[in-house]
Amino acid sequence: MRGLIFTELLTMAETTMGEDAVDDILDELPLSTDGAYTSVGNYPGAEFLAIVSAICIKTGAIIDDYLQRFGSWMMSRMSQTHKTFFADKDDALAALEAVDGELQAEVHKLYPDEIVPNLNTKRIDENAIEMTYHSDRSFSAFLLGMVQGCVDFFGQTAEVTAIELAGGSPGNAAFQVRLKG
Amino acid sequence: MSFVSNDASDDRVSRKRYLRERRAREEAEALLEEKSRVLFDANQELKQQATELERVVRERTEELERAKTAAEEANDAKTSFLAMISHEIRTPLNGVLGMASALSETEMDEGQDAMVDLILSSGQGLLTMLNDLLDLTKIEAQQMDLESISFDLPKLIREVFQLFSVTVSDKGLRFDLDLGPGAQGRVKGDPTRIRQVLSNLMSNAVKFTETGGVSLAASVEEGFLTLEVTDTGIGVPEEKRDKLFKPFSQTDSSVSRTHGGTGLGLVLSQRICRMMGGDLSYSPGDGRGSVFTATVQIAATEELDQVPQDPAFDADAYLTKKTWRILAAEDNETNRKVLELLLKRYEFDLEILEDGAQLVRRFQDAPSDLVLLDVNMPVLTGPEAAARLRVFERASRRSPVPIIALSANAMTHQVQQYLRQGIDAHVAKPVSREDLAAQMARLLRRVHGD
Repeated sequence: MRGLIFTELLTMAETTMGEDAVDDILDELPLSTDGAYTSVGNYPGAEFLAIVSAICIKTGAIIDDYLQRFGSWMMSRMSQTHKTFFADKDDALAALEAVDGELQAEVHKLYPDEIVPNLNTKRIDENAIEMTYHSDRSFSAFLLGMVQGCVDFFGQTAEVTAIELAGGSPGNAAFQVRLKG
Repeated sequence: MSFVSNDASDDRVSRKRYLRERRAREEAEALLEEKSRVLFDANQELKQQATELERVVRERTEELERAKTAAEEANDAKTSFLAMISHEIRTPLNGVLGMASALSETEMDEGQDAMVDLILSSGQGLLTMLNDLLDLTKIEAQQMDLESISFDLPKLIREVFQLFSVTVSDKGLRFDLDLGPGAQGRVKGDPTRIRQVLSNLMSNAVKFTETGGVSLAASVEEGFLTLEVTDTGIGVPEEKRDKLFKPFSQTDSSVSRTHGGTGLGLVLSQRICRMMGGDLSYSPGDGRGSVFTATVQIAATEELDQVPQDPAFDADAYLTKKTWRILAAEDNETNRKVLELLLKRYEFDLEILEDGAQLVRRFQDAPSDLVLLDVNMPVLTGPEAAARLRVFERASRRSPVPIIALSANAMTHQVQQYLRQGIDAHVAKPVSREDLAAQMARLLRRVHGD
């Protein structure tokens, strides 16, 4: 998993818990690099979940809620680091439709062999898209947060409904995002 | 390191955090180093590939150049070989046809007449085949030059039609000619090639038809001449039609046994039509037989022929009206004999020498009214002799004597070359008496008037 996810997670955690609390968590966990993450590195996905779990235990947050908040945070960070990407998009749906390609390109620049979880979007009508998320990692909540962050960025409101997928494997999830107003 | 402290304070970081950040930085640097190394290697590899690719492209280009040059050389060799072999075949053929022709004008019994006729027709067949082969090779080597001159279209068609009328009436066939309203007057095109195509189609139609008839319809529409030759002959079986326009493929080997021919005529005719912006196609006749339709592009014209023809002018009469002094040079003994026999009827003061040098010397002592020169001769070739004669004439302020080249080298570019070397006209071997007489009379008349 990309180091950027780790460094952003730790930065978000520091804003709410403070540096010392984050340091303590990193000290307590058996991590491959003793928690010395760099945004351009690549680290085991299990460490991410271990850190999130530890934060939630310490703060009493629910894991899915926390991942959703983190998704929102990531989208907000992307809006600062990838301004040109957002500049030519008319609304949140257009940005979400394009985000998959953008993510793939960013990851492949540095890690040609990395398997990136891919997002498929399908246009339902003018105001709605369906997003299917395929990955062996259970990140539905994270994705929900990203969608919310994107809608917020464009100053829009949207209703996000989970769609039951046949087979119901934990790595696969689908949402319908419908703009309101 | 006073700023590093284990106490968390607002502007100070813990030693642990400092070490962790430093480690992260070092890891990032190591990663960067590794990635830049990978990039460098990839870049080197790309450069190497580009160099290799350029080398391969250069090599391939050189190979292609070499192959192209080799192919061009081979093609040139083929053309020279053909010019040479054409000369080599035509020279003895000239002897055969000339002698047979001379023989046919002597007293013979019926059986001997028939034998000479067979020698003549076989020789003509051989000559036609040789010409077809040469033409086909010229087209393939893109060396066939088409003329664009003004000619009398209905006259040309009638002449070809006339050529076959004897055979047709001998076979008891019906023979119709339909000159459409467009096919009148003079047009601009290549009359020699149009005549060749039409003769070929007519010859086939007559050859393959035993009962019924042959008809020829000509029309001109929107710049295209259409010649339609219809016969009631054996026709072409459906499964053999796609072979019609392929070289050396008469539809049936038994046909070639009964009707002769190499099967080159239709191929050649189609190529010629295509060169002239048209085509040649086959369709089955109504009920039986065949319809061959040739189209060629022609242009309207109001010009006269480049060489004005005087239909009233009688070449033979002009040549016999006085004893013309004729000097000729020919190294081949058979050909000397043929020439002598061909010109026997005119009672010329004819002197035939064995090479160009002898002729030039003789001309300086006793000039003639006209000179006939073989092209390939030892000591001095025809064109070289012509050049010396012209030099002598200028030095002695004589007016130029008409010079005719006789040669089996009938390739267009060679003929053009002779004409530039002071030669006035060219008659191809085997020499036909009519052609030679026409050229001789035309040139003598140009100098001496009526």
